[in-house]
Amino acid sequence: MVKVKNIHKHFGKLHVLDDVSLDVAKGEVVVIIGPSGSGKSTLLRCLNYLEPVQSGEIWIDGIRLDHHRTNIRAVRAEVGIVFQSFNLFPHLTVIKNVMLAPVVVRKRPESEVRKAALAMLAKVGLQDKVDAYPSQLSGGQQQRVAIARALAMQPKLMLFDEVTSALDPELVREVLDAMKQLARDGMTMLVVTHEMGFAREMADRVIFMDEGRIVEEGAAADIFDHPREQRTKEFLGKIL
Amino acid sequence: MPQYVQDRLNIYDAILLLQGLGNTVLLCVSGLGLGLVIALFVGLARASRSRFLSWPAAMYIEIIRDSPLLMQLYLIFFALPLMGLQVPIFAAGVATLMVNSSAFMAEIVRAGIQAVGKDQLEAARGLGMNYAQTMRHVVIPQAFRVMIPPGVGLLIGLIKDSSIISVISYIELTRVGQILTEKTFLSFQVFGIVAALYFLLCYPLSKLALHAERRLKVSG
Repeated sequence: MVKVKNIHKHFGKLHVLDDVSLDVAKGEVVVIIGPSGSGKSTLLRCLNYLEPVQSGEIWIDGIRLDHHRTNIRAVRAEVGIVFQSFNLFPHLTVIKNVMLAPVVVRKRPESEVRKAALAMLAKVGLQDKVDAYPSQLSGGQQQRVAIARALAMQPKLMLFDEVTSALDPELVREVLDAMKQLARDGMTMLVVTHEMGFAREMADRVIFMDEGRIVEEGAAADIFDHPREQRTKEFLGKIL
Repeated sequence: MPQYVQDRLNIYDAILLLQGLGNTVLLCVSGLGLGLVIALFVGLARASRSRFLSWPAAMYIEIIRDSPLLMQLYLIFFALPLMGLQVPIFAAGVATLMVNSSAFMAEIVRAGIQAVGKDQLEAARGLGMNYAQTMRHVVIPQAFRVMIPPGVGLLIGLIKDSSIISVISYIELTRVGQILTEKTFLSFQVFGIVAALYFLLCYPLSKLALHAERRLKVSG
């Protein structure tokens, strides 16, 4: 589903991604952990070209992500992304937020999209907030709308960029539950998070990144209980 | 033989005043309406990351903003004919208001667009929307809210400034006022009425803007 080959990215002098390669199979849930500034969010954002890479190749479901705009948009339509700060459209109601892209980008008929959007919102437990505006919702509810909005495009891959980091502790669970449900439904997911409980429970594979490199990867149990690399041990020692 | 001076306003004067009011409305709706459309495109170009778009837009805005409205009117009405382009009075008035308002309004459009956060652009792009779709469905509706207060302020200013068009003898409200005072010497009454009619044009606009602002805020 995802094939990343030797990508490099610099922000000025800073080498944010240093020869990163990665393969993700269909239906796999991959959790990326690491200290802040390790490049994990940047890697995620490169996968739908919100950030360009300077060298290397990225393939998403057989389409090469390069400078061709049509390719970029084709990939973005297939890849859903959920951000730390929700980024809902404040001038649109919940249902309109969810419906916008399928109607505008996919050109699907509005009645059909509406039906799908309502189902999607029910799935994340927000069927009674359909006509509310984002500002009337809690952070956890907003983030669940953001997940529904991404899902409404029927993506083949979902990217989660620290989606619980901006939430109050008591709101984190409802978002994680929605993500767990999605994982159980067989969605291919790449998740950048500090929620080690989620990683342990749901991840098929955990990747530890530091200083723009993939330091170590493996099954969740192996990474958390028997890390091989010194840097992984130090990081886990600090946060667990 | 005593010279005849009309010492009160009659029904024909009232009709003339209403015609003047109507012509001012016509002038402003056409000139400012067209200006708004141009402003949208110039503002988008000004906010664009491409220099080929943003520099010419910036130049257009600065040249027009930094020169007097009256000179723009003179250039269009008196100078263009010297270059072989005869402009009818009404068209000259509309063109002047259009050009002038488009520059000021373009800056308001630019500020509105740039006030919409980068996170909104990323969300739209992340959903696969292209530039036009992002602008139309995400950025401009949000920019519009920011643009209302300064935009209405500008429109009100320009409606009053449209009185300048009287100097090329277009029979709008101010010109009617001048004609009637020359005829009756009732400057106080005539200009009082003219001012009140401008007020009647502008005040509802202020009210409408406040209302729109409040309504849009609820949905924010």
